[in-house]
Amino acid sequence: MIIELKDLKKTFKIYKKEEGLLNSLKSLIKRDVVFVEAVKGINLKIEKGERVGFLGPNGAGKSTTIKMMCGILHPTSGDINILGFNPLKNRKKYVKNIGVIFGQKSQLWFDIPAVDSFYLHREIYGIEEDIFEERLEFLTNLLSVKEIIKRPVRNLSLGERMKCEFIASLLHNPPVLFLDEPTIGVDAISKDEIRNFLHEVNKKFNTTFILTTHDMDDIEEVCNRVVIIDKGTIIYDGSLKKLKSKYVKHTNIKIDYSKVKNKKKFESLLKKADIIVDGKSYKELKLSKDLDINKILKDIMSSVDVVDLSIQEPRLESVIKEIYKEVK
Amino acid sequence: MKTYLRLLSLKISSRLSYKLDFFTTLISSLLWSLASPLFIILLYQSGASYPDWNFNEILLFIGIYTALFGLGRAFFYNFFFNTGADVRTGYLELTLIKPVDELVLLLGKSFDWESLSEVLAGSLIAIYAFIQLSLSPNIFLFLVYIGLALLFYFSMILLISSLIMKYVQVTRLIEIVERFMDIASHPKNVYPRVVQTGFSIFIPLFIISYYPASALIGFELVYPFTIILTTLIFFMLSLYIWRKSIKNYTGAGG
Amino acid sequence: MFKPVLSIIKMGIKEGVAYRPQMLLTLISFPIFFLTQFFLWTSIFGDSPNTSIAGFDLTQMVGYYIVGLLILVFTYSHITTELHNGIREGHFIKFIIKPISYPFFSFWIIIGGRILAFVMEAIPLLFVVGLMLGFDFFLTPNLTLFLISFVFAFFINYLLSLIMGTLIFWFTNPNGITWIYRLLRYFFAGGILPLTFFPEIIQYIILLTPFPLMYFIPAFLFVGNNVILGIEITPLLLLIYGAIQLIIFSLIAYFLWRRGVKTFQGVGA
Repeated sequence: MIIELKDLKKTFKIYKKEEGLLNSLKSLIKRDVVFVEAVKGINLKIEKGERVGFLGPNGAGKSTTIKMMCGILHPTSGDINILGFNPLKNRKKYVKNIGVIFGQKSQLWFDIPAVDSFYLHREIYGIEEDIFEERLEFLTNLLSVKEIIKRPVRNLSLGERMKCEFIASLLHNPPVLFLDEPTIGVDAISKDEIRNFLHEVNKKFNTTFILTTHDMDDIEEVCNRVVIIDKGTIIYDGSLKKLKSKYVKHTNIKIDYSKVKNKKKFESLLKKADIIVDGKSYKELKLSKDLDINKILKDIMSSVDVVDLSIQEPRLESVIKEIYKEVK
Repeated sequence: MKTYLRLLSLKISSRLSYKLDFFTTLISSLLWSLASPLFIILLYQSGASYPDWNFNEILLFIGIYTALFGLGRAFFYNFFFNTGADVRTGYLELTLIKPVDELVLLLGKSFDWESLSEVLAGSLIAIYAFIQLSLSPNIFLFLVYIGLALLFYFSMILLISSLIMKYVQVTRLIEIVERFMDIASHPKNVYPRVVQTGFSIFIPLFIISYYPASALIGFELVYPFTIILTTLIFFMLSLYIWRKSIKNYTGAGG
Repeated sequence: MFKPVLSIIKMGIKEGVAYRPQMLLTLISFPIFFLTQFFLWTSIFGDSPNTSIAGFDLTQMVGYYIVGLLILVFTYSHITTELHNGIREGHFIKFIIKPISYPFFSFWIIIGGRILAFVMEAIPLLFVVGLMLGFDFFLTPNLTLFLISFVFAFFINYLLSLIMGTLIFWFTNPNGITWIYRLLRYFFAGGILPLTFFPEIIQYIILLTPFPLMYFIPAFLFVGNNVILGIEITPLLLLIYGAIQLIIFSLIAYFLWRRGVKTFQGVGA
C-alpha cells in the first residue's frame, strides 16, 4: 500500500462578499464568515500500480483531495501517508517522488522551448544523464513530439502543451502521478494519444495514477478503479467493471421516423421499453441492457421508416444520480 | 458618445469593488504628481534655476504639464495596453465587428479615473503659481493649446498602438512616449536651437506645456499658429496609420 | 548543489533572449533620456559648469542620472510581478510540487537575465556614454566603494521585490501598495534629484531606509563624491551600513515568505 488517507478533512473559511456600496462599507468593519466543508472524512488505500479515477460533480471535493495529496493544500485534520511521507513535512524529499499535472496550470517555462524546461528538470531532480536521455527518448517517441519540444511553449496548442507537461511530470520516473483534469479542453486526437501514453507508462514503469476528471472516456481508457466523491465523502470505491455492471443498466435510443410500416411490431417493441418522450413521429426510449440491442435496432428499422436514430449510453451524471439514489 | 459614457461608468464601479486598492492607487497617483514640483522646489532652493524662468513661472509650467499629463493619462494611456491585450487575446476581432468605431470602444475601456487626481494636483499647483504672478494671459490661445496638447498625446499613443498590433510582445514601446513626455517636461529653451525648431515645427512636442504655459504667462511665442497646423496634421497622420494598421491586422488575422 | 545553479542561470539567459525585442527598446529610450538630462543640466549650469550644485558639477550631475539608470538595468528584478501573476493564475504551484524554492530559483534567474542585459542593453549604452562624456568618465575614483555599494544595491533590490511579491499571499489586488513602494523608492532613492538636494534632516531620515542603497549611493560614489552629511564614506562604514540593511530585510523576507507559503497552502491554488 503506497497511499493511505485516514479520515481526511478540509474546511475552508470564506468571507462573504455582499452587494452594494453600504455593504461594502460595512464589510470594512465586520465580515461574515462562512465555513465550507469541502472534504468531510475520506478514507482511502491505494496499492502500487493502481490507476484510480476520482469522479464526482463540481465542488465535490475531488480537486481538494488531490491537492492535499500533492502537498499543495494542508488538511484541516486527518492523516496522509504517501510512499512513507507526509506531504507537508519534508516537502522537498517528498516531491521528488511524485509527478503532478494540473490541467489549467502549467509547469513549463513559457517563453522557452519545452526541451529546455526538461533539461532544467534533470538538474532539479538530480537525474543521471544516461537515464535521463533514455527516458526522454522513450517519452517523446511515445507521444510523437520530437519536433514540438523544440518550440517555445507559448507557441504550442493546448494539446501539444499538455503532451509536454506529461513528459515533464514523468522524467524523474515518479512512482506516483497525480492528474487533475488533464484532458480538459484538449482536442480529441491528442486526448487519445495521451490516454494511450498513460497506459504504456503504467505498463512499463508500474506508475500509480490518481486522476480526477469529468470525462468518462478518461476513466474508461485509463483507470481500473473508480472512486466517486460527492459532497466531501466517498460514495463509491471499486473497480470500473463493477461500477458499469452494477449501475449502467440502460441504453437510450432516440428515434425520428416518418411512417410506421408495421404497427404491431412497433407497438410490441415499445412495450419492452420505458418511453421517456412520446411524440407523434419521435420517440425516446430507455431500454434495459439485458435486451439484445442489435435485435431491437433491426426491429426498429423494419417497423418504421427511420429519419434519424441515435443511441446513447447514459451519461456519467445520470450514473452518479443512480448511485446517489442507492446511497440515500 | 453614449457608448463612451456608459463604458466610463462601468469602469468606475468595477474599480470601486477593489476598495483598498482604489484608495492606495489614488493616493499614489497624487504623490507621483508631486515629483516634478518637488524637483523644481529643491532645485531652486539650492540656488540653481532654469534659465529665463523664475520660480513661480516654472511652477506654473510644471503645474500645467502635470495636469495635462494627468488628463492625457486618464483618457489615453491605457489605450496602448488595451490594444495590445486585445490583440493577444483575440478580443480585438470582436471589437471590430461591433457597429461602433473601435476607437470609441477602446477609448471607453481605457479611461483611468485615478489619473484625475494628477489633474487636480497639477491644476492646484498651476493656480497657486498663477496667483503669485501678475499675468496678461491669452486665454483663448491657452485653451486651444490645451486641446491640441491632448490631441498630440493621443497621436503619440495611436502611433505606438499601431506598432503594438504588429509587435505584440513589446510592451515597453510605451517608454518612447514617456521619454518624449520627459522632453516636454522642461521648457523648450533648455534645448539647442535645432531641437527647439524640430519639436515646434515638425513634431509638435512642445505643444505639451511649453506653448500653453507661455500663452498663459504671456511670453512671446515663436510660430504660434504653425504649431496648431502641425499638431492637426500630425494627428491626422497618426489616425491614418492606425486605420491602416487595423486593416493590415484584419487582413492577416486568422 | 552547484550544477543546478548553472542551469538556472542558463535558463535566465534563455528567458532573457525571448525578451530580446523588449531589450531593444532601451537602445531607443536611453539616448533620449541621456540627451534630455544632458541638455537640461547644461542649460541649468549655464556658463559655470564647474561650480557645484548640491555637491555636483555638470559632468557629475549628468553622470549621476546615467549611472543611476545603468544601476537600475543591472539590478532589475521581475519577481514582484511574476509572483503576483504566478499566484493569481496558479502557475506558482510548480514551485510547491518541485523540489526547488522560488526565492533561490528566481535569484539565479535574475543573475542570468542581468548577464544577458549587460550584453544587450548595457554595452551599447556604455559606448554612447563614453562617446558623449568621454571614456575617462568610467575611471571612477571610488571603484571599491562603488562595487561594494553595487552589490548591496543588487541584494536589497532583490529582497524588497521579493517582499513586495509576497503581498499577493494576503491581498488579492496588491497593485496600490506596490505602486506606493515604487513611489517611495523613486523619491527616496534619489530618482528625482540626488539626496544632497534635500534638507539635512530629511537626508538623515531617508538614509535610514533601504532605498538610497538601491540608486543614490552607488551613483553618488561613482561620480566621485564620498562625503555625505559631513561624514566620509569609508569601505568599512559602507560595509556595516549595507550589512545592517541586508540582515534586516533578509529576515523580513524570510519570515514573510514562509508565512506566505503557509497561507497559500491553507487555501490551495
